[in-house]
Formats: sequence, structure tokens, C-alpha cells
Amino acid sequence: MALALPPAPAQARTKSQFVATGFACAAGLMFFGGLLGTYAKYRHLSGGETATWIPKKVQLPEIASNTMLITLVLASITAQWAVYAMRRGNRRDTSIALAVTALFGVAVINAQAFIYGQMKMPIVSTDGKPFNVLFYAVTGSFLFAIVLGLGMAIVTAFRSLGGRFSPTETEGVSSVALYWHFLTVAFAGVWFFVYVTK
Amino acid sequence: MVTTGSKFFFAVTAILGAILSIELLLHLLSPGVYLFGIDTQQAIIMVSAMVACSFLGGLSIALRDSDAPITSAPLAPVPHVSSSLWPVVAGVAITLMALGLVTDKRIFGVGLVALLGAGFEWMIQGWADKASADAGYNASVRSRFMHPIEFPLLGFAIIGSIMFGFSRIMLSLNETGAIILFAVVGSVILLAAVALSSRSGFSRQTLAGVLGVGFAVLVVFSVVGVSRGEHKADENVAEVDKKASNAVADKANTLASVNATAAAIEFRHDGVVLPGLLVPRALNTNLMFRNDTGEKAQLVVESVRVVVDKEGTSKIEKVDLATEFIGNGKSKVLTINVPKASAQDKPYTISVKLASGKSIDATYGVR
Repeated sequence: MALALPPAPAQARTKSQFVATGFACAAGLMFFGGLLGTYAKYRHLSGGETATWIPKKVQLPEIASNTMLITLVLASITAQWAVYAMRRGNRRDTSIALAVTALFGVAVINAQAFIYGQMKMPIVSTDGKPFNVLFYAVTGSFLFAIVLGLGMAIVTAFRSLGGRFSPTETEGVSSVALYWHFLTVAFAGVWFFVYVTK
Repeated sequence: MVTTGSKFFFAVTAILGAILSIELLLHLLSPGVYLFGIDTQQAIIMVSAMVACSFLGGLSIALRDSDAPITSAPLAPVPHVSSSLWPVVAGVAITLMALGLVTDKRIFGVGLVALLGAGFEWMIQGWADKASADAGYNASVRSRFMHPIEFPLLGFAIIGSIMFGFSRIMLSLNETGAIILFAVVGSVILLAAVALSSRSGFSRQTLAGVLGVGFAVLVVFSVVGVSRGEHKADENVAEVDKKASNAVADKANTLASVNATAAAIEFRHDGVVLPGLLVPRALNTNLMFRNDTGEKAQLVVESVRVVVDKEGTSKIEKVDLATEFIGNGKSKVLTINVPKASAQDKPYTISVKLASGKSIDATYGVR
């Protein structure tokens, strides 16, 4: 008769939400990399100069785009503040920090809407150039990513108020902060290619 | 210390970095020379991959490859998580939304509704899975909460699909075809129901299988019906005036009565036969059509108008109006509006089309 010990219970995975968010951020980085690569390729094919790439009547509002970048850096800071506060067990500050982060997100959306309003550019160019489509593809994708970040921040703020996190369990808040850092990095790329290099 | 898991990501980063560096170095030393033929787009994607891989490598180190700490304390049991279809449904819904954005807004709407529904179901299932350690009890908790919502919606969706499917099939068939098909379908359903009910103790699986096959057949034929489009009595007629008025006011205010016999069209006003018909342009005008052809017939008024597109090019566009087919001895009012004189050189025609396919034509002037 063979004797054997019973199998050990399966180990709980650690920080699965944080790891999943990390993979999502990596996928997002690749996605925006692909989009910006395509943008750069078509810009290069059109002559590689702003004058031949952007339609003559179109003006890219630089102040609004710079403001968006600064706002996102601030959002990154407030998201990290939420992690800091939760590690010290301060639920109120965590929720405030996440709410401020979400507010910054709304401000970014507002700035993007302002840019669209100022440019008054059709989605499909009448002269057949791909700038219009690529501009809206890049900035629209980023808007979608921002909306996801807003949702994450709001849900996590409520979960924080509901007592879901503790100083030893900050994974959810850290995941939100990681995502907002990703948004900042991604927008830095968008800002450089679309609004600075043009 | 570099963990095992992170080494893969750092290796990918290093390989990509080496390839890019060699390419850049070659290009700097002798412009125009490329070893790997990397263009701008590929270079940016490779840099993105390097950033993403080094990020994941760093994450792997920070989390120590997600290894569980060695502890002497007994490990907590892993909570039961039931299998779920909702992530798949959500994935399909997101794909539908993406497709809808570039094809049809209705597809986007369907995707959005499916995504919201799947998200809600997923949330409830996640909540129910945490109710206790007993999977059976958790399932009952979920059922108690969701069945009052799911069953009415499911019933509504199934009945709606059946109605919509049958409507598409009916619309794609002509009158005779619809009668024959539905007599046959009705008989088949009746016979199948009799056959099933006369068998003692047929299983639920059998019934579900029969219903499933029937539903699949309906879906297939309704898709065929949608692709064929609605059946038209006369393919040449663009618009049949199905809401032709029979109001006293319209009947009393007609420009003329168009009396059709098997041989000719005759125009009458107040009982007097007119030598011709003069129709004012750009004005709603009522014609009273009387069918004395001996078979079903419709009054058709065909005219043209000039349309100028965005680029300033003008082109002729047909404007057709017709009554429905009416029986012999019946009357129907048709309200017409012959377009402005922009297509003055193009005449309009008044004709009567018979169900047998024959057409009686007449052409008259306008003012």
C-alpha cells in the first residue's frame, strides 16, 4: 500500500489585478506605438514636412495640447497620492485623491473637445490625405483610454470609501495609479508626434 | 536581483535595442544603407515594444514574479469561482461596437447594449460567487436575483426575433408565395407538435433540440429574406403611395379622373371627357384613378427632376409615384407633385400598369 500526503491547497495568486493592469498598460503602449508609427509613416510618405502633411486651413491648438500634458502629469501625481494615502490607512484622502484624478481626466477630455472644436476638421479629408483620419484615430483612441481611466478612478474611489482597501491591501488603488501613469506616458508620445512634430 | 520572469522581457528589449542600434549606426556611417530595412513605422513600433517589455520586466522584478511568500501559516482555501460566459459575450460586444463604428450605427448600438448587459451579468455573477463557499448556494443566490430579470428579457428577445424573422420572410415573398409557405409551415409545426405530444415521455433535450433547430431554420430564412429585400409588385416603380388618401376632401378636389379601360386611358372632369391633361408643376395635385381594365391595375406617374450634387454636377433623377394595385371597378386617389421646370425638356408620363404586365401609356403636358 502506497502512502501519500494529500495535495496542498492551491496558492492564491498575488497581486493579480496589478499584474493584469500592467499587461493592459503594456498592450496600450504597443497600441499607441503602432498608431504613432503609422502616423509617422504616412507623414514621411507625404513629404515629411508639416506644410505638406497638415491641411492648410487646419491649425493645431498648441496651448490646449500643452495644458493636456501638464494636466495628465498632475493626474499622475494625484493618483500616486491616493496610493500614498491608502498605505497610511487614510480612506478619506484616498477618495479625494482619486476624485481629483478623475477631475483632471474630465479636464483632459474638455481640452480635447476644445481642440476638436477649434480645428473644425472633417473626419475624412476632401483631398484624400490621411492626416484627418489618423489625427482622429490617435486622439480618439486616447480619449477612449482616458474614459476607461475615469471609470477606474471613480469605481476605486467608491470602493475605498466602502472599506475595500487597507494599508496592507492597496492593490486596487495601485492599479489605478499605474494606469494613469500609463496614460501620461502615452499622451507624452501623442503630444510629441501629433502636436509638437506635427 | 533580476528575477527569472523578468529575464524574458529584458532579453526581448535587448535584442530589439541591438537591432535598432545596428541599423541606426549603419545609417549614420553610410546614409541610405540599411541592414534590416527598418522604416520609420517599424522603428517606432520596435521602440514601443522595448518600452513595453522593459516596463513588464520591471514590473516582474517589483512583484518578485508574483511568487507567493513562503509561510508556515495554513493557506486560505481558494474561493470558488464558477465558469462564466460573460467575458466572451463582452469581447464579442466590444468587437461589434468596433465594427459598428465603421459600418452601421445599429451594430454599434447592439454591441453597446450587449456590453452593458454582459457587464451587469458578470458583476452579479462575481458578487454571487462570493456569497459562500458552497457553489450550489451561490448559484441559487444568482438565480434568485437574476431570473426575474433574465426570463422576461429572454422571452421578449426570442418572441421579438421570431416575429422579426417571420416578417422578413413574409415581406420578401409575393402574395401567393407567402400564403403557400405559411400554410406549409403551419402544417409542419402542427404535425411536429402532434408527433411530439403523442410520444410518451420524450426528453426535455429532444424538445429543446427540435425548438433549437426550428429557430435556427427561421434565422437562416430570415437572413435570406433580409438579403433579398422586400418584394415589390413592380420593380420599375420607385415609390408606391400606400397611404393614398380616400378622404372626401381629396376625392372632391381632384384635377381629373383617370379612367382606364383595357384599351386606353381617358381623362374626365365633372363627367366631361378632356382632350388632354395639363398638370401644374411643383404643386400637390390629386388624380382619381378608376380601374375598368378587367384586372388588377395601378396608376403610375413617372417624371424626372434635375439634381445638382456637391461638386456642382447636375444629373437627371427619376421621380415615380404609383397607387397600389387595385381591383377591377375600384377607385383610388393618387397625389402627385411633378417637379419644377428644371427638367422641362423631359416629359412626365401617366400610365396604367396591369397585373398581367401589360402597360397602357399616355403622355401629357405640364404648365
